[in-house]
Amino acid sequence: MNKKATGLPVFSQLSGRGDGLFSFQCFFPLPRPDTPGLVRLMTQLLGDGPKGMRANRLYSRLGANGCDLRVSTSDLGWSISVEGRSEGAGVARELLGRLLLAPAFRKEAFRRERSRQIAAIREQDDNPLYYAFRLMRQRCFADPLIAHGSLGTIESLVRLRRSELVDFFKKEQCRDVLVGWAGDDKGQGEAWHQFACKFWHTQAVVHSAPSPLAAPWHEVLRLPGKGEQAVVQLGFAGPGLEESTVLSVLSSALSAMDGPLFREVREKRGLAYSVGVRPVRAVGGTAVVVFASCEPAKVDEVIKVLRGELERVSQQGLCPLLFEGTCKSFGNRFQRQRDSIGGRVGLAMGDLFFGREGKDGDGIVRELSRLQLTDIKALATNVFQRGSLGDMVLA
Amino acid sequence: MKVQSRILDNGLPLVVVEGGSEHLAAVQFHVSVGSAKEGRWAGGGLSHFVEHLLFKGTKRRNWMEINSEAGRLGGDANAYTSFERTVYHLQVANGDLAPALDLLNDQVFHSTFPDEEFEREREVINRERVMGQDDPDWQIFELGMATMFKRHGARFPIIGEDDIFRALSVDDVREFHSTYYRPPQVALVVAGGVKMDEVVRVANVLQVPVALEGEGATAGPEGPVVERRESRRSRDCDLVRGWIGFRGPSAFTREGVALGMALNALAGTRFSQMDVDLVERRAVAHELDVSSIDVGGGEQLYVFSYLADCGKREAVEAAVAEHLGRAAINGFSNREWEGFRCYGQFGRARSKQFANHLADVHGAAWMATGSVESVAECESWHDSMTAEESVEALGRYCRADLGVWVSLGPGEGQA
Repeated sequence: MNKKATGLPVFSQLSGRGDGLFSFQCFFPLPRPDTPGLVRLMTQLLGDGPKGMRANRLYSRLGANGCDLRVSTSDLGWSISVEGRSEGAGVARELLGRLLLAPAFRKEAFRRERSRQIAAIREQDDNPLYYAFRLMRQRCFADPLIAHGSLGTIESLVRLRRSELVDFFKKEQCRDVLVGWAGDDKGQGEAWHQFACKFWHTQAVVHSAPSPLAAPWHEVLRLPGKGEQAVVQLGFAGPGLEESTVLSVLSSALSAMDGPLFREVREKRGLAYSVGVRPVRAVGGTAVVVFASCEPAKVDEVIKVLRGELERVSQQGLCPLLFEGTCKSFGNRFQRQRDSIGGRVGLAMGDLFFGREGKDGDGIVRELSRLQLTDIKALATNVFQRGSLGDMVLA
Repeated sequence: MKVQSRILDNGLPLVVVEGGSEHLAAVQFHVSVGSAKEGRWAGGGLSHFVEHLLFKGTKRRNWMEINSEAGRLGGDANAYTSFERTVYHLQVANGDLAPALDLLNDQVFHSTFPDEEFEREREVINRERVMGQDDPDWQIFELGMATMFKRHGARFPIIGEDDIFRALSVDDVREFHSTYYRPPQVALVVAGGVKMDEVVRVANVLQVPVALEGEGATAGPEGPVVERRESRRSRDCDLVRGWIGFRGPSAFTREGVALGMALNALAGTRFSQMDVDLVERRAVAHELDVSSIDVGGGEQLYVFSYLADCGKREAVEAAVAEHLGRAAINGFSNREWEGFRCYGQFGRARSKQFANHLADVHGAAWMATGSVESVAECESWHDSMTAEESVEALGRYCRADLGVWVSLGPGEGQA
């Protein structure tokens, strides 16, 4: 970690791999947008190219120099990254600079990307499981800005004006940025650092206040589904983002092939093919959705088995072997991520974002090594006993 | 990165890729039977059924022990079935190579197929089938394959036809397994932070059935491509999904590489001309992708898939036909072609950072060609391929008067 006079700390790491690749990433923790779906649309439009250069020209110049630029949005922030062969880094910096200084946000691109984002919502809704997840998320979070996820809603997108998006970019692009680089060439690392300092002067992550969750509902909410299978979902209030690691371990352990849900619902009873736990991380808070797709006639049996297992886990905790295996699996997963340059930078950004000790991509591994079975049990009790929001069945 | 192979003392072919990870080992068993090569059980989805049942118990472990042992190794144990292969994989810390090999080898070769697990797993697969029926992306793929092939085994869904699948017995499973799950139909592939000598030492002592005599599973013949076929299916969903597929040579031949490069240059990147035209300029499609599917027997499918608003299907298909025709005549400029090549080289370098990807690619190559040189050979063809050669392959295999053109969506045809 370097701290330059400008005050911008840039995670910078020599990969030592000698494969001639670099990765440069900027991550912008998500502020609360005014319109659902705005941030994702802005990000997609940003990737459409700078003033005076069409998207195909931008990407073909990057491609011809062995580089690729990606923009993405999650529920926690948006990012822009460049990865490529070291020889192309100079061109990549020049093009990224043009993009950040003067994004085009063209009118016709705005209309096209908005239409594509609406299509992405409709595409998800064509799949019964994704449709169910979207409805459950809306039900879990009381705040409509968070409830709709990064895609937003068709209604919010139709109302959105291009000027709102341009204003948002001007206001937000200079704050709260996390920057990271990894590659083979020390001089190039320095060049990327100077580049970052030209654009951003401070780095801070201000986590928003916890998102208000919906009031619990007591009846099973039965809604018309979109397929032959029923989708059963149990919704729970999750912990704050600071407990993100322990939530990941709990969710993975419950969803694992040697975990209680897979064992009881699928392996012992053959009730479902797809069963698991999905943590939903949003600005300021989380929800937890336990789900299974099953035959409509077996919905009540599936709910009973799921509830029984969650109750057992919240009273007795996880079996030590399952806990140990899940932690080891996480360790291997992070190792796999560290094998790629982009993954390595991504891990370091995650450490910075979540304020983890280490900040070099090892923070999460250190946090895992300190985790105890009692931490998991405490979280399970908190979520599955005290945090129940309600059940939803789409059939 | 070093790729080596040898036949182990127990008869098992071994491919080792030293590279892709410092601390991990990706362990995979590639079995040269998939849904298109099920012989007298054709259409039953037996390869996929066996894939599920290999997690249900062996002579030394019951299903709970299999799952918990994989869990304790911290390995993401899983499997997949394609048309020409079934692959079992586990990624672990390289210090856990020996127990991972012991576990996976036990599952692949020594499963007992307990009677009590058979019916229960059939019900799980039924749930998987219904999940697929509910998913329009899965449905368009199956419609495309069923339209493409009339005799070849790939005309059936990988999961099997419902009635044939329901008629399968546990004896069918045992016979299928004991026929095909033998070397050289099965190969062990290990990639990551490992050394050949070390893998050989551990793998040489694995208990493996005796080698298969005679011919392995084959995909069954399909006549030559002589016409364009269309199929339209109506479905109550919001958008139209389209799938335009062409039969062509294996991706491990020079001609296959030429064709793959042409299709990527046409529609595989953000700056490909077809993508720019259909998604950005004319805005008739929301998404356009290109992919390829190995169906065995030295044949590969090359596919354009798209997502569009209702009523736009004709416009998308007309534009695809127009681009194919234009590319076959005008080709690609030198600058354009060099850009794609450079971008492709970067993509290749990026993918070499992942041990499981390396194991998968080298495993597929070994099963298709029996050589560890074939991946490097494809890379050298990629680096030396001219636009002219690529365009020639495009004109031979991908034309508007060939292939299957299918769509799924509201008002697209019979429900």
